[in-house]
Amino acid sequence: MTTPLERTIWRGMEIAHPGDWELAVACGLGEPGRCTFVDRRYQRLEVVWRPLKHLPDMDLMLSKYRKKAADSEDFLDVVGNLPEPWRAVLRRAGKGRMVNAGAFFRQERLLAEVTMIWPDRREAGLEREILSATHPAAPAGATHRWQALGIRADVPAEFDLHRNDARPGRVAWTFRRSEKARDVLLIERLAMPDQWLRGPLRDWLARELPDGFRAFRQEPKNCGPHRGEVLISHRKIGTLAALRGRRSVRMDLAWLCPQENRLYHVSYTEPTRQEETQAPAGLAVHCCRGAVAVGSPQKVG
Amino acid sequence: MSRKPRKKAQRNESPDVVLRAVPYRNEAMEITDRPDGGLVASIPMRRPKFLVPPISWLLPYSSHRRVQLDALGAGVLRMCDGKSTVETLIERFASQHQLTFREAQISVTQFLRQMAQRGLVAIIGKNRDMESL
Repeated sequence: MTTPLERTIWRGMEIAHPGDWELAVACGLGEPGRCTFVDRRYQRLEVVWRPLKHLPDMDLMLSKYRKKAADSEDFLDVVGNLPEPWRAVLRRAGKGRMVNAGAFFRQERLLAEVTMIWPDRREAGLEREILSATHPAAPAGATHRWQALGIRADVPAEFDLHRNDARPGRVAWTFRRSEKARDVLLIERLAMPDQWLRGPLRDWLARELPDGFRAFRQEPKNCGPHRGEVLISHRKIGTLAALRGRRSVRMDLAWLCPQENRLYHVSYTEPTRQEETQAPAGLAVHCCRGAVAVGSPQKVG
Repeated sequence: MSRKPRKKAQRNESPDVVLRAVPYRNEAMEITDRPDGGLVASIPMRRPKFLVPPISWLLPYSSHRRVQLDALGAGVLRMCDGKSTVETLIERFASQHQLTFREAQISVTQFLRQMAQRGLVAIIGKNRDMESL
């Protein structure tokens, strides 16, 4: 295998896959962990994971499965020479082959199951590479890495992805601290700005403001190697909140990445008495040349 | 006596069949380029049989259907040369606009379906057996 594998990091699971196997299904909030990857024609890889309270004996499970499946026409063999802690069986699937692998990650107490489909020729080397690089994502301090569908972001650990809106040319992720939390973080990546972005970025940002928000301050801002634009806006949030001096304050940051031909947009909204708000500390969105720090740097110690 | 409503034939072609299909442009269609890179396609329409005088004096009838496409749509239509498969079109569109194959696949196949419904293109399916002929 010459081309390096791509990584998708979704809800704490890091999954390695060839670049042309694209994420088609990703689990939502509160759902069991699941990601499905497809190539141009077929489903190729499915990874499901869930936390377990007890410690499973994978070897015992495999031997029981082997005994049970010995009579089955689909069962072909137990796959050997796999990276720890993976165990796998090879099965017949139509004209192709299917590999069902499982692993229990003791430290995270997470059971992961992988199904790989080989419609034509089975590539055992690639299979091993995928399994050896598929594991629970390493914790990165106070942030969690989210990496899928072209977005790579380090998001403060207290935020969870509540909505994944992936359409052709537009991926938008909405993060919240909890279901009832009033502060909302949005990370958006838009394709082909050369086709639809008419006029300067500052005008687009102002046009994108939701109903009721009024611009308070707008100015250019450096976003890594790119020139971006930041916009602070306010909206009234009811009489009671107004009496307490609170309003909804929104920060929008956008920049164009010419190398990727993408427009990145990050917004953070929270009810506050302050005139301005900042993105949560530690938030960073990566584009062509590394991370763009959106939130203030994390406090150390 | 009531007639049963005719069910619309629903085709769920496999991705393989769709990717191997070849879009052909409607040869009777006239194309007028626009300065913004888009185009206006004019497709001749068959006159309905009931549209004879005196009904035709009352009901307006256009002999052509005009479809306006933006620069992106025009680009895809120009790529339909009767030789390139849908897969090739998607690959070209993806590389032109730095999209992933899947992003381009959804956009291009939806657009081709709309163009076929409006009579701008006809998409002819091919299977593996036909290719070897």
